[in-house]
Amino acid sequence: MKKKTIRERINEILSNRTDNPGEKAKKEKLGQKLKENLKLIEDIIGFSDDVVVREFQLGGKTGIEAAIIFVDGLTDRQTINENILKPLLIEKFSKEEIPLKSDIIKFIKEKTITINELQIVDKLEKLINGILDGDTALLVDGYIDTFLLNTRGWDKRSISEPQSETVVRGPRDSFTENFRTNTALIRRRIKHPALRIKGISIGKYSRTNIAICYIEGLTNKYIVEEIKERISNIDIDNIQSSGTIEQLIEDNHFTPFPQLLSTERPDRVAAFLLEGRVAIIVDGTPFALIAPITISIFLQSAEDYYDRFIIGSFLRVIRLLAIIIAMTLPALYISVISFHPEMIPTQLALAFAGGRAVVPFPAYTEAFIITILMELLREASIRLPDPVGSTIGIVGALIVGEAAVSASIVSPFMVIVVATDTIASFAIPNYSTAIAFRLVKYPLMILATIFGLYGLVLGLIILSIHLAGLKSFGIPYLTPMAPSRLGDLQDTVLRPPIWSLRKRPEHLRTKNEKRFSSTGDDDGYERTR
Amino acid sequence: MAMKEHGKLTERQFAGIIANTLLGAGTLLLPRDITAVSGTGAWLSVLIGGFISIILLLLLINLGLRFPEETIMEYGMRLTNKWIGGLIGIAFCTYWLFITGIIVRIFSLMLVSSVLLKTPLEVIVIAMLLTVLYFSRSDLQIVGRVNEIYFVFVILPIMYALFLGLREINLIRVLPLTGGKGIMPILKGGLKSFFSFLGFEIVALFIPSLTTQKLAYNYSLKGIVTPLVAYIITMIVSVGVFGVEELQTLVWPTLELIKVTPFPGLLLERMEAVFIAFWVVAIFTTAANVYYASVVGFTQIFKLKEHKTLTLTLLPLAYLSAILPDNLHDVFEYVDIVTKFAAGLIITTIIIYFAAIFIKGRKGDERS
Repeated sequence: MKKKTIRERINEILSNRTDNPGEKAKKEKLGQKLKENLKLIEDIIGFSDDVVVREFQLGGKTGIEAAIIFVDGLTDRQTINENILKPLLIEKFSKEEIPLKSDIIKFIKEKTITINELQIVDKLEKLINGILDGDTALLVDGYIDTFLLNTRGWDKRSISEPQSETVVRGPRDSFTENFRTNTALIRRRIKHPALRIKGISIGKYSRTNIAICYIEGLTNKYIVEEIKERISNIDIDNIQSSGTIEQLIEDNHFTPFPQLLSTERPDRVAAFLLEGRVAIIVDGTPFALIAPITISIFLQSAEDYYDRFIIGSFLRVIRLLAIIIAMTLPALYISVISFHPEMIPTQLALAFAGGRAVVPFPAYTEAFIITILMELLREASIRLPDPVGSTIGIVGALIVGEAAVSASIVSPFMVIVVATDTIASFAIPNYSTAIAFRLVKYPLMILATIFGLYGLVLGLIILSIHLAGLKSFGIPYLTPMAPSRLGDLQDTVLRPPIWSLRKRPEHLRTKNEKRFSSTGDDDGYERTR
Repeated sequence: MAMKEHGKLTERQFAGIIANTLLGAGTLLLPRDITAVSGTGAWLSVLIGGFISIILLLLLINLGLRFPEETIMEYGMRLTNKWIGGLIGIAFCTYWLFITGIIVRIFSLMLVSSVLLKTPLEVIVIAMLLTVLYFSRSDLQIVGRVNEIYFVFVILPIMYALFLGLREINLIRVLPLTGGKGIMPILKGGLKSFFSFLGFEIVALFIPSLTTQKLAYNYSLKGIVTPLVAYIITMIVSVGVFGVEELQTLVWPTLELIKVTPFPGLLLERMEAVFIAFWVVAIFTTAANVYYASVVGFTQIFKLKEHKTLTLTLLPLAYLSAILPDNLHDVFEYVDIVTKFAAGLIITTIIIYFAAIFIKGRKGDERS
């Protein structure tokens, strides 16, 4: 009995499936009769308001029925009027030019329509997907073959300045939500036939366009294949943004550290592509994903390479310092104050003790109070509109901090420590890395509370074991430090002069290592002298 | 078994493992222990201890390279028989497990007496052992990488401290360089210093995983000479700063050395807490590597699939061996016994296995 009910249920589910429009589009077939086809399509799309169906006669009076279907808002109406309706209705179909019936499709394709990109399809699913992508479908009575005419055109944000990766000196354009604009921005920077932009569409409902960009004959093909495979294995209904893709294809999930870099700068993407990395562009997201990456990339900013190398190196050292401070400063303060006050010079120790004399809490309570306050402030200021946000910053940081000190809840030194810590975390160039180090700070603070410096070091040891175990698409996260690649070490903490970066990163195992082609160029492209 | 795939360990990581395993608790005790026996000739004793270790290490590698696919546990059991090979393996693993505990204990004692005055010893031991546990669950690749990073973190601060200490040396205390008591005390000191070199024998487990086995000799020498040089400088500096007699009265001579060394720096007044922080790394790498070797060794002897199954099981034993000695004096006695046991074990093993190879045929590489 039980078996039967299960079987019945399965049958029920299977029969219900045809109610799903997506399944129906796969199952049903186009016929020759226009009316039936239109009914089928309208049935599947469900008479949505934004779908426009326009029926007409070819040439206006030939008696051959035809119809166009398009989605309002995704298409350029001007193009439809000028380049589809006008030639079909008025211009080309005067009585004597009507060809034999069998040739109408060919005639329309070759002599009538003035649209630059068109496909002839006979599959219903393809047709419907095309309409939903913004193409205009043209159906002619008596034919299974239908046209998909590229009339895509919708409102889009124009290219603006990058928000999170601003530079003083360097290009000011950034990616937008529009897929094609983004690929074009990369193509504009690498005008070489070897640049490959491979499209794929992911998401059962969202059908999001994703492009995998790499340089043919340069990028390690195993990395490209791995990324392609992981992306095409994604089985999900909706791709919300590139962050979704990132989390679905990364190597390790249980870590705060990002294993793909997201950047909104096309110039950076171009540079990464030419190092031998792969870029992933997701429609609807103004960020490109870069893989594989190593931890040293988080020290880098686009600007490093735009200024002279001494300046770039200096900035990187400062950023390294920022990471160390952002991660360890509160923990260090706790351990020094609670466990090792003998470390600091006497005068300073006295000043610390003086500041702390009125505070009723131990150093760690004090530290946790004010760091949590700082986190609240940050979160609050992100949610608020710009002008109010800065007010909150001033109110929070100045007034609450000042009041907390004069109310003897925290010592002034603690405020300095946490403020420095926060400033340092803003100096880390990559947002997701900054958050990762901000999170690591808390376990370290707890360990420092229990064991002092000993605990802090144990925490750092655990962190380094964790980092040593991470991988980004097969590349160990700590490359080139461990496993060491001496050739790549120069471009990590310091930024070497451009002329000394003669080779692409070793660990990416590119096919064409040389960056300078002083002797024989092996990329098959003539160098102009 | 998953542990011994070729190419899991680069040569630099191999050298890093040797150096990190050696540099550890030895640096804490060396100056007092050796000078007690051989006086100002202590540095010669260390040199002799080092040379003996190097010879033993090279012999072990020679042995290992004859069986490029197997670790010492596996070819040992095949060369002799299941019982002799297994027994030797178990002896090694047990002794590694034991010194994991002893090393952590020595360091915890130092922490309790210097910076963490109010923290219970057991808590410090447990914290360190839990970190070791986390480490030992990793794959060999990660073990190699961690050692590679820490090599720099361990060696640079030690060298820095020692070179600053060089300025404080009073030459009168260093002379006579030979100790002036003849050769016997120096040789005795050599045996005593052997404790500081213990741990190199764990490489016998890692040879099959090397990327380029040909370079094993080269990089193992690099790995062992680094701590040897560090030890000799430690000896000379601590003897030069304190003198032999005063050294006998110091419990943690190297720590005292750092206390008396003036550091050019304005931010911090006393550096010993900072150096203890680096020492944590040094002790951790020693304890963690040796514990890892013990876990992997047991895994191979009992032919288990994954070494992770044993990591947690063996940890209480390591904890017991750390808690077993009652006081510092006891610890030193255990150290003495372990040193002698280990020296005997390593030498016997090498002799037995080479003899087995000699009997079974020169190559010893014929497998069914």
